[in-house]
Amino acid sequence: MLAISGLVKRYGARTVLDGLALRVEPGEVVAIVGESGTGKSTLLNLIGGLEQADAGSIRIAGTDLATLDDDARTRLRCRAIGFVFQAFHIVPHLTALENTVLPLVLQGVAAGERDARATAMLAAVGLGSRTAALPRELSGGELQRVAIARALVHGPALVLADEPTGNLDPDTAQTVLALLNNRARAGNAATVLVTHSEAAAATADRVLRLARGRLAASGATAEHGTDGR
Amino acid sequence: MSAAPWLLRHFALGYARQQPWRALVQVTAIATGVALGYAVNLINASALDEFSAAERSLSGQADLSLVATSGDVDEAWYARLAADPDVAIAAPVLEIDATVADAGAASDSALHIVGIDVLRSALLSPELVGVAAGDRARGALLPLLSDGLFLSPAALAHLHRGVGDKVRLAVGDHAVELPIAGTLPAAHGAIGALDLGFAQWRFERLGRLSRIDVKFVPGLGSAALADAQRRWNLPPGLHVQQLQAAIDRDQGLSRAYRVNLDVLSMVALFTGAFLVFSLQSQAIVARRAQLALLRMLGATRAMVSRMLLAEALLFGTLGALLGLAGGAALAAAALHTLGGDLGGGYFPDGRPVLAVSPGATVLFFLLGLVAALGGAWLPAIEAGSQAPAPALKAGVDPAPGSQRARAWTTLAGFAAAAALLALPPLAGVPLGAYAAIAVLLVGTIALKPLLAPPLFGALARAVARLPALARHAPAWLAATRLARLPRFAAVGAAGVVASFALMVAMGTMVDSFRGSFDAWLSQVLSADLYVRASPAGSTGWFPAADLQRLAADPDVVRAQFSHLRNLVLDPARAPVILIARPMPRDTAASRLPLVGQAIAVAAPAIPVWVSEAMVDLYGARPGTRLELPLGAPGSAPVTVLVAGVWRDYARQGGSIIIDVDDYARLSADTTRTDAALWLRAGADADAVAERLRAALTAPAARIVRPGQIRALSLRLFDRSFQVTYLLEWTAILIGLAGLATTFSGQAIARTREFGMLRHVGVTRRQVLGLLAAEALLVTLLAAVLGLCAGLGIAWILVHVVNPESFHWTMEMHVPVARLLALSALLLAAAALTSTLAGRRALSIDAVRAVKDDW
Repeated sequence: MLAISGLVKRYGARTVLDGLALRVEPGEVVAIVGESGTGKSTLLNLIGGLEQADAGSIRIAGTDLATLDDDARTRLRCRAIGFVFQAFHIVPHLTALENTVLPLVLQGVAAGERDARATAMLAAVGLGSRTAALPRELSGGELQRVAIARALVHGPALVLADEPTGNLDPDTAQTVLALLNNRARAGNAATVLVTHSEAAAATADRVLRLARGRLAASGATAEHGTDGR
Repeated sequence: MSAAPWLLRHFALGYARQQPWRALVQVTAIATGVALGYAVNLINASALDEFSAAERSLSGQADLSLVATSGDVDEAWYARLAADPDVAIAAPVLEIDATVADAGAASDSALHIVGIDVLRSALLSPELVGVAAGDRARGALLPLLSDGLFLSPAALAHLHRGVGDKVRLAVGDHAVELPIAGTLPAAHGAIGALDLGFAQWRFERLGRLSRIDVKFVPGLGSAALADAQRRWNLPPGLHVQQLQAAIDRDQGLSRAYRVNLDVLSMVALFTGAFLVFSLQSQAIVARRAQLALLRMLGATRAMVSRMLLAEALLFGTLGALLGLAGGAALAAAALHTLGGDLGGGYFPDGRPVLAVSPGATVLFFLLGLVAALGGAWLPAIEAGSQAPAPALKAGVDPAPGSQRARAWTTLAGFAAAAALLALPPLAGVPLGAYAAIAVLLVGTIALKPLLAPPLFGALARAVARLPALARHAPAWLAATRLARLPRFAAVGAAGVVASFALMVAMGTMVDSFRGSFDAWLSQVLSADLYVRASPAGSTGWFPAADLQRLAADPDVVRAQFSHLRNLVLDPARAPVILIARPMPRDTAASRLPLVGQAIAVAAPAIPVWVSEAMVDLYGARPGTRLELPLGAPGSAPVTVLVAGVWRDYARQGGSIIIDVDDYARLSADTTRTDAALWLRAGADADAVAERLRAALTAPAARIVRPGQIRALSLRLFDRSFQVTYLLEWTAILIGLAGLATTFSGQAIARTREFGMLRHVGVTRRQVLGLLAAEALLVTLLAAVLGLCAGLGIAWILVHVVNPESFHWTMEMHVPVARLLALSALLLAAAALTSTLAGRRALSIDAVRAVKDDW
């Protein structure tokens, strides 16, 4: 589903990613851990087509991002990728349902169908009774559930989650993480989870450590090797 | 299914619902701008309609008129034209400008009278056929008109008369008393009509006509019109004129004034566009993360930009519709209470009916949309092109745009302004100069973010070196922020730069004009008393005995008599004024406000001195020859030599001064219409005026002192700019509203920052000081740039727009004290506005503020 090879990203003289490789299969959850400033968010931005690599290739569902212009990468993101952020990024003046429906709106899905799918997804994340609630009426955990519903509602092939539990208390974090992983697996989506949290990383199928611009197996998942497999 | 409607409805308008004040201010700014522009346009158009209708009342259905270039048409031409088999109707007309000479009549009670052949004119100009008292069945029985005057409703109202009253009219050197026999119910304007023969007899114009209106037989085609001059073998001094050409010519006199006012009336809309720019820019900064999220989720750049432009279009449509309604109401109220004249004096009479033109309505609606879209364009494009990933990071302000791009924009703006200034006026309207003003403004505004980093950076460093930095912390924080975020410095006060620059420009131009006008009045009003035979112009003159009385008065040491008359040099243009006055060849420099050097003219050449308008309109530069139709129709024109150019602020269509003896010799006209009297030292001018008033026999003579002329002239001058000031102040208020909303929005958006500052020990007072310091610095830079741009625009107005529009020049004078006072007022308003906005932001609890997420 996701195949990265020889990925290089530099900011001026500083090389952040240096020949990085990674493969993630459908339904697999891969956690990436590492110190601050090692390039975890940069890697997610590159995978999401938000930044461009200096070298190497990123293939999502067989499509090489390097061959796409900005609009094509945007369309790919719209169709195939779901994002979950640490700060939730829920639009404050839209209800839970309207926030969830956004990717379907951008895909041009008909009104009846998109509302039904978004309602079902909200129900699946436990917010079936809060569809009309505005963000200010929701707790932090509920906001992140809305974000997860929004990330998965269009059935993406790839889910990118950047510190999804960073703003949550440990109990809520565990619940939200389990929900994210389970829903992603249920949808057969490949998931890349960037986190500082050991507990969060432990919920993944594999854990990789990003250091000196490359991914290496971390602890319990050392058998996957240095190429990210 | 397109995502655009959903995004507009839920995403963009959802934000508007959340911050209704932002939408309200945008809609109000556009509505105000459209309303002012539309109202001024409607008032001018209504007055112009009334003016045209009045002209059409006089000529009716005629295909063309035979007129004299100067003076009258011999009645013999009527018989000749009537005998032409292709002429269906020929109607002789005598037009007379009379003065109402009743005791107690207002000094401006002039009346235009038309003498007609009723049976002929009834077919061409039915509006001139009167209804006698008691005869309401107009057309059923034509009154013979032989025993009185028929007045239009406007004339009856103007003269405060009714049918059956008598009116005493002064024409030439005598007066005629006529009964008011009836009305002209359908006629426009203040006019009177009477029988042609009766008019020729009573006003001593037997055998003379002003024109002969002609209607050809049907089907003759336009070729006959074009060939009329040759068909009748007209001699020099006679020509044919089509009604529309005459209307166009007369409307042309006020065109420059109307266009100037139209442009000025759109200043508010222009400033409104900058307000939209400020608000949209600010809203995009506030929604930066939301817009970035949209991009992350798959909205393309174009989709985001289109959504924001659609939002602006919606506000613009609402504002434009409200503006049209408001403008129409404003115009209707102004026409009802003030009439159709906005101060220029071009349409002083009557109460025109509101004339709504679909073209103008659509134009101003579109201008409202253009202002809304123009203001939102750059922010929308910028929002679409911002990188989504960094924009999602909370607390990170947008990166400043390319300084190089801004520098190029500025340079391109200034270069374009210079190039546009070189363009000639289009149909007498300096469109190039107006466009130059617009690009100069845009260039200056683009300069602001370019100057902010070095200026405010240097200030921040200077403040940081002060010994007691803690005390100056607000100033340091403010200067640092403005240096690092030049966008804020630019966006917040874009409207203020524009409106203030235009205020400075107009203030400087008006001050320059008034100063030059005042100096001109001092120079041309050198006598102690001025006497005019008739306020209605050259149709009245002094009887010979009056000339004797004026010259022989014991207190008069010098009397100068002159003659004013209209001369048509080009039938397509308004007549020029010929002023025949004593002007010995070598005295022009001391007697006239000459512009440039005069040349010596040796006999037998006849020198004349022309106004600046003559140079622009007729190419009459010193040394060129002019042909003046001074004799009777049919006689050859007289060739004169232009000896010099003088400044004349009184006659926009051009004027020519000729020595009165030369004039009398060339024209055989020895009548005098005006006198200037110099009194002996110590003489009581009022007593002399009183004595002369009692002695003069000219029925409508007016005697005034130069002080009265000066006071009246300056009062009219000031009145003509009152509307201008009103429009300018509205623009300034819109500019300040932009500043207020920017600071208010910024203060609210920065509640977390202020909360953090309060956490680290900054006092509430210091935070307010920070906001006031930011406002002062931003507005100071805006005021300095506005001053510079305003002076540049004033130069364009003084040296390009005025000469090209009105054909007169002036000296530039900068009202330093007033501009400084205006700047201080602006700074105070900005500081007050930002502090009030800050108080609101600080009312949020500091602890809660730092926890607030978007």
